[in-house]
Amino acid sequence: MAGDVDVHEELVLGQAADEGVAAWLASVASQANAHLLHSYGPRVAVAQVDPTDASVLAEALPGDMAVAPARVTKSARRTLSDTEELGLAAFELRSSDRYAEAKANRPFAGVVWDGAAEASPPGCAELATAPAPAPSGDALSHVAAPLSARLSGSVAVGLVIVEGPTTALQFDATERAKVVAETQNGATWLGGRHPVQPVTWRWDIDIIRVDAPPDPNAADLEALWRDPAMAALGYGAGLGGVQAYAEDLRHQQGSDWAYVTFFTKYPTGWFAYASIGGPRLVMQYDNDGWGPDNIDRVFAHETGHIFNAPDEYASSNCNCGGSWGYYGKPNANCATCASGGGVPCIMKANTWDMCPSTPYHLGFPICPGRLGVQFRGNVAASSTRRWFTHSWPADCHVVWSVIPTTVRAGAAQIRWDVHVERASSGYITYWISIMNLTTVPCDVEARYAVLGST
Amino acid sequence: MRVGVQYRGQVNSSATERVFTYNWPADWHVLWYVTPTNPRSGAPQIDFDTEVERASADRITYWIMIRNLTNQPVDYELRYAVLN
Repeated sequence: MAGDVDVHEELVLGQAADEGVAAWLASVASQANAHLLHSYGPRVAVAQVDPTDASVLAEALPGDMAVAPARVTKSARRTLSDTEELGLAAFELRSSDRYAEAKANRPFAGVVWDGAAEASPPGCAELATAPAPAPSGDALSHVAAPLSARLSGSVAVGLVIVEGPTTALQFDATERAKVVAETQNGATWLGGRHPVQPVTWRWDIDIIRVDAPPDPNAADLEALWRDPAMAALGYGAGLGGVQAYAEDLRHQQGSDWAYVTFFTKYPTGWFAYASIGGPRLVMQYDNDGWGPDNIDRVFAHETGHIFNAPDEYASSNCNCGGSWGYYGKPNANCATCASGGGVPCIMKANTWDMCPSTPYHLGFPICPGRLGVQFRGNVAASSTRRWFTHSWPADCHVVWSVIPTTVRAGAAQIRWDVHVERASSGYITYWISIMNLTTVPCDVEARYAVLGST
Repeated sequence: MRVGVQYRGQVNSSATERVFTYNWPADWHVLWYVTPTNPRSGAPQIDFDTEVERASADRITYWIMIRNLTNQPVDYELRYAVLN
């Protein structure tokens, strides 16, 4: 077991750079009852697999791919890219006793994000949605499709560790591995909340050292180091450059969604913040008073913002209204107005919990199987009457049936027909026409069955 | 029970398209339904009906008629549920 997220993960290691461990894992997933959680380049992956099926997975993969290798030789490590090496080091760290001990002794475990006297709350969307004025070339109008409309399928993450010219602004090897381990842990937990299939995270890691001297008084603290870092990656200044990088990542990784995560030791406006809806997330390595051992939860919280979930702690000035995320749901677990201050949730506190509202905001499929009666009515003799029922989540598989409740034996009484309207990207309206086949009025009951989701 | 998407397609404005899907085990209890995938609020977009062919003693072919109720092309997905 790696980390403290109650998921059985196994490292899968390939030997050849053109092998594509992740692609192989995807192809044998159903056979081996395994699922690709993380990929770090072509040779390093992390799979979710039942402990009893690890040997089945090993047999299903080509012989030169190792599942849970007992050791990785120095020569094998030397062949790995930076991304692969860090992915491997992160998993090894998450599997260690010292990591388990650190997680068992997290600072401020369970404390609401604005409830620790020695630590400030993570920044929220306001900072992200009001960056420094963008130059004309920074316009995002070229964006063809949302980069993070909902947390599902696969997500490409450009993890950029930005270092500066002084030792104080640089990361040593241990800190780099820590960053990757923490983001891996947080992503496993967050993506594992998906009720149908855990999210697959495809990582691309860069360590960029820029020359800019730190300047706590800079008008745009982020641009000071971000723009040179993006230039080093070949992208333009401003959020436009970050967005273009995320789009390229999505294309290169063949993922559904993408965003960019920056880690730095440069001064920033908040120790952690993100744009609602992407494209970027920024974190300080020291993670303020929460400490590096809580980077995973702060990363999960900020990634929630990337996928459109709002803050729920009181000092974020949240309220229980609004229209948030994929389904446009209100922020019902906001601490200032939810009954009893709401329930524990990653968007509210330093916890591995998720409230009932956040899955809607993140766009998880919300389709617990259930049966019910949607409405009852009356249809006049020999006539047809039409009803509609709206706001059914589009992912839900729903079938409809109608029965008469007026007793009249001897012949069929009603017939029904269902027409369908896609009212929005996330919701469906059903139109149900009910025909009375008899010469007397008939009471009816329209029933639904939610069968699941895709 | 399991659910899935069998097919995605497009039906032209005010047109009806018939698709079939074959080789379904006869002892499976299968339901079929269709949803539009391009949003257009205000009125129903799709009507559908299912017809059934017993292709062999143990196999069934389902024929699904999809009618576009609008004056624009509609993208749709054909969904199924196997209830047993």
